[in-house]
Amino acid sequence: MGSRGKILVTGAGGFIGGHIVEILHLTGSHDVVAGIRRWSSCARIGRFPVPTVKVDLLSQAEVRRALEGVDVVIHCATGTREAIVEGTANLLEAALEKGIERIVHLSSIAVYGNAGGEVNEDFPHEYTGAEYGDAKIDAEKLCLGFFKRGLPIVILRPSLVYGPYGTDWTLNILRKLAAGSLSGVGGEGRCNLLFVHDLFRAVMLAWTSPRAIGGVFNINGPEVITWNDYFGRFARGLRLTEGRTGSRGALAASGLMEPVRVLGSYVKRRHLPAVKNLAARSDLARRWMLRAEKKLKATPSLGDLAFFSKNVVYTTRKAEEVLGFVPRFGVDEGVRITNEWIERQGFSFLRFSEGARGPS
Amino acid sequence: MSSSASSDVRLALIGCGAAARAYYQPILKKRPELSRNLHCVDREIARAKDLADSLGSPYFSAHHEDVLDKVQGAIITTPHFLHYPIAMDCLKRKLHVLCEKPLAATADHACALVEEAERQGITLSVNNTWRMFPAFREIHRLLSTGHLGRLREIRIIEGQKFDWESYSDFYVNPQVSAKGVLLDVGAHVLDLVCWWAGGRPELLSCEDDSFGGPESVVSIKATRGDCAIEIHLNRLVDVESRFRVAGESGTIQCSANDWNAFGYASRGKKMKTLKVRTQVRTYWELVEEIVESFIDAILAKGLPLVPARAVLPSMMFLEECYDRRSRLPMPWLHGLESLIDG
Repeated sequence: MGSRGKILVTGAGGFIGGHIVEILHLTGSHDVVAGIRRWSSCARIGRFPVPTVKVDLLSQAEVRRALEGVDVVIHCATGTREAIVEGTANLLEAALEKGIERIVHLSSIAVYGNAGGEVNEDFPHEYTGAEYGDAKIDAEKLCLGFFKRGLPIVILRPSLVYGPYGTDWTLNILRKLAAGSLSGVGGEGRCNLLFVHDLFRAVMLAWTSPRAIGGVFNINGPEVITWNDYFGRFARGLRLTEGRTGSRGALAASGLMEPVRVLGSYVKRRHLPAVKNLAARSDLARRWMLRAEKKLKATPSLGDLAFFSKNVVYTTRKAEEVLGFVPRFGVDEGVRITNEWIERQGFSFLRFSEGARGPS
Repeated sequence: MSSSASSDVRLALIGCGAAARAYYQPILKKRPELSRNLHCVDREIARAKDLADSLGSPYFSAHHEDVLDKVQGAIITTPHFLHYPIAMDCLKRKLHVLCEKPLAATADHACALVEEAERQGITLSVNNTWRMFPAFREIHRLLSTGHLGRLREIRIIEGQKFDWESYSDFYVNPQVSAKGVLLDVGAHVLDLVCWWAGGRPELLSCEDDSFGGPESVVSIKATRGDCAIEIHLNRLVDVESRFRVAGESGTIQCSANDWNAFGYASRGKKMKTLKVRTQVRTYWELVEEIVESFIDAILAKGLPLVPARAVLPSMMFLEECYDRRSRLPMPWLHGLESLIDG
């Protein structure tokens, strides 16, 4: 190709990065290079004959090598605080050095912290102590610093991105719906869903629009419904029991699982090699871990329940005015497409209608 | 296998990557009489030396050809597409071979290896570890003794997100191989189906999600006599591992995550969990049984637990799946062109 240059997508092993690579490749519209950190994350994009570069953003040498011949960078990589902040710093430094034409940096609405009501881009950053949101704030600050040094950068703040291959707002919700752990009353907070196709369109506009450079944009879907409404539409599409949050039972289950969740999260973050070692040495430990993980995925955390009752709407007027971004995929359409994907993944609760359970 | 007997056995471990470390290193550490004479081979010489050091062996090399005159047998744990050429080199030099699954990347290559081993009169074994799961062996026994009556249905869902930290990219890089989850996990699953069903099924359809690179989701429909077979493999999403085998007289449910138990219901009765007595505590202990039988075979004291010939029906079935595969319907990809202009 390409009239619009060669594009490197970082974080191509992830949900959003993988989606962008897939569309660019399948439509044949651009030369795309998939940037991945580990080969093990490559099972999705490996299905396509797409050039792939292994790049650890924490290695300046690898980042420079990955940017050879690249014109545009879509920066979707995420991970630990170090990966988000120092990795972004390395990328921006190398991009400035190489004269990259444009960088689209995918940030998050998490930078607004606990802000409620109607939130636009003028709202200040709010540190909350949550690793992801705080790291995204610091990465944004780096981006704005490099913009002042002449790097043509655009920052997008997507809301809750869902769709095929999605985890947080797709598969994790599905598992809870299937387990019936979202049943009860409540969950009347606002659910700011963004279908992944619409995020792709926003990314395209961010890298092609001359007015976008130096801008920060919220990117949200066309309608903001309640969480319960989302659960209901999702469940009905798959013929699952409709779920609602906030019942005493749901609260009790979430409360009971919370110490396990906190401990598991700590151990996973600090002692992952030891955990893997233990699982390799003991079948009993391995099976216990699998069961605990399955249970945790099927039970909303206390944080989830609080989040499901949060009243906040992220407005996208600026993206409409400057980028011309108008979201196209309403929740019904997004859920319909997502469920087409889910139905082909092989979940037994969708395939084994008799519902008998094995010993695992 | 006594340590005095096995101390006479000189082995090469060809491929010192993730599989060698996960499965064979713990076994060999327990057997200094084997490991001190072990030749570690890897194209990355530092990796070979590192593994040799960890096992107390002074022998390491970057090329398998260098060690073929020095050993009686080889354990091959390289990327799949190297199994055939390396195993064939070993067999032609009359070395006994234990190969990681899949035995080869194609059925022709697998057959050629078996024929060569038989011509030379030496052992060719394959590490299809799932055949060693105590629960799966018991299920095989129940099926082959007719406890379930005539087999009606085998349905398998094996869906675990790929997270194998391979040192090389061959599992997922389209520039290296165009075969994915079917050759990798499918080598276990299809072998299990052939083993349980008593032979190679007749393929009805095979759909996968490849666009030229290694596939990550596969859906297979087949029959064997009156038995309907459905297999769904997925390495993109943690779906679950769940197998259901139904006969005229009963139903079995099991999982690759549980080696020691399975569910059993005779017709019209409730499913109950049956535990299988075993001393096995870890996955590599299952591999250890295969390694021990391999060494016994080298010493002419027994036969390998999983001889390569046993997996040929599944290798042929697997090849047929690749030959006849079509694209899995992916309606969520419709209309992408409309997204390009924002």
